[in-house]
Amino acid sequence: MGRARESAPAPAPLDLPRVPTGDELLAQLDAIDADIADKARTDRVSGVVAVRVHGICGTARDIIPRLNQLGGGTRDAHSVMSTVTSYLPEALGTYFRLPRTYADSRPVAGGKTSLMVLVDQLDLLSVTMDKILDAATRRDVQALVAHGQFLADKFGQGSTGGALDVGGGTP
Amino acid sequence: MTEPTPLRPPAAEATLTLTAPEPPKAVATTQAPKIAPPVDAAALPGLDAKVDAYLDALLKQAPNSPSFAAKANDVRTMGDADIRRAAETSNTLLKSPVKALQEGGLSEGSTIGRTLIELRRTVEDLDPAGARGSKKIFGILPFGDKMEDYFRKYQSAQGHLDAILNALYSGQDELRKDNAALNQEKQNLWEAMGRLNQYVYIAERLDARLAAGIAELQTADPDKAKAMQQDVQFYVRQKHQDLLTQLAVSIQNYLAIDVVIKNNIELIKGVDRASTTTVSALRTAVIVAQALGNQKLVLDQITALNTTTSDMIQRTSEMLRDNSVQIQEQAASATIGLPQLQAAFQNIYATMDAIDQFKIQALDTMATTIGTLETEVEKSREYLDRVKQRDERVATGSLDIGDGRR
Repeated sequence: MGRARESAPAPAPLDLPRVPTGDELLAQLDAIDADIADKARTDRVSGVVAVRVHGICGTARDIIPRLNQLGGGTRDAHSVMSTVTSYLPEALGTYFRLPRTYADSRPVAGGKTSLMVLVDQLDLLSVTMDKILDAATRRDVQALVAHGQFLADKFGQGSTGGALDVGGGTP
Repeated sequence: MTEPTPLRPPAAEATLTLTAPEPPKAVATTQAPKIAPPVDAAALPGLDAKVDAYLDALLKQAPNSPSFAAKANDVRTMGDADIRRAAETSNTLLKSPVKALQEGGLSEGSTIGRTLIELRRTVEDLDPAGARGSKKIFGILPFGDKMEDYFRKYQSAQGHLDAILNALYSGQDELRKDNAALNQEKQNLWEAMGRLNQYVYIAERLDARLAAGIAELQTADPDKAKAMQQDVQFYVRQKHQDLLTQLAVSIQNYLAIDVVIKNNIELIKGVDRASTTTVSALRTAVIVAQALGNQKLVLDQITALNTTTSDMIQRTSEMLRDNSVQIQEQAASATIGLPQLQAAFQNIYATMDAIDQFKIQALDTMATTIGTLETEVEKSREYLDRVKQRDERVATGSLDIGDGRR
């Protein structure tokens, strides 16, 4: 069935949404961070939110230069991109549309206030970003560990006979 | 030294089967109370007490007195706010399956639908069988430039494939968001049905108690018995019917939402498979390119495969290079070769065909679901039209169970 369509006239190429570049994502992160910092200064957002958003932005900033290592078009890369362009701004936007006192004090879902619901979402995003950063840096971390192993072999205790070393020799 | 084992393509996974849920059958009003969330046993004594207190108070009034009329009116307004709200919700909710049908992931015009078509087209361009132009790219050996040209196509398609994969993931996000919103609607409907069912219980209980009371009064006070029958029992039964109708409509709505949710879940599964089979075909292409042409094909999408794969490719190619005689023939018979690449492409086609099949099936059941729902919702509209005559939005009586949002 799949190949049967070959003879059909080719439809016009689909104009797919462009995948934002790393620089664009970084600029967007800066904007989110600045907006939250501004709101925190004027007490329009709770400290628990500001610190979490700041944390997520920080982790995302560390991941973005490594997106190539994750591989373009992978799920992880999409998750980072969407966190910056959609998940985080949407969570914050929806929360900010609520009156502050209402959002921070009125239980709305399972006894939780909107603020608590938002904090849960931010925590989940934060954990996810941490996991992706781990995956993106794994190779570098492994290289560092391997290098440590190499240095230990060459210059560490094991390189001079270990327990059999009589001491006093030049290093 | 043991000989390195060349990487194998992903084993052919079981065929992807996406199943459209059955369209729900029309819910009979008589069955509605049994299907709807049951009245909590703990709430029963409270509801019984409400009925008893109401009847006691009613029986104390002289028939045809203003206070009797006021009491009798309680039955007419009982649960009206809940019925009206449920009926209005049903009207609004009818839009969600219709919207899902017209604009949702199932429709050809949706982002997912169009992205899948684009994926198919892009993949056909990369198909080693040569989707366009010459049928056999590799028909002539040795491969030489033709093969380099062929694998170069992968590199030029990278950006486009990235955009396709991203659009598919975003499409899945949309489906998941839709489902989250629909689940909220389901929750609201569940609560509304719970309240309606409490009123159904009150109406049934009132009817039974009234019937007994009227029978007793027939001889002692026939006038009162007649008043009770005409001004109270008649409206209790009418209200009972209205409640049952709305309850059935709400259940129908609930089931229809479920169909949309299940369809979305299937579609998410399909898109998942479409992206994994695509990435897996690209991965195979990287290996085949290396094995056949000694050509390094680097694709962003599979950089994540990182060292393990590249080591494997490296070793495969070293092995091939070591056996320097007749490299091409050996490469052609290597474990990873064109047949595997071809199979990887077949997996993509099979996935997309499964999605297409599912769509046809799902569109069909959705149409049936909407048809049944429309008929049911029409019934609740009759009620809305009837009560529109009298605006009793603020009316509450002694039979109101409270806590309802108005």
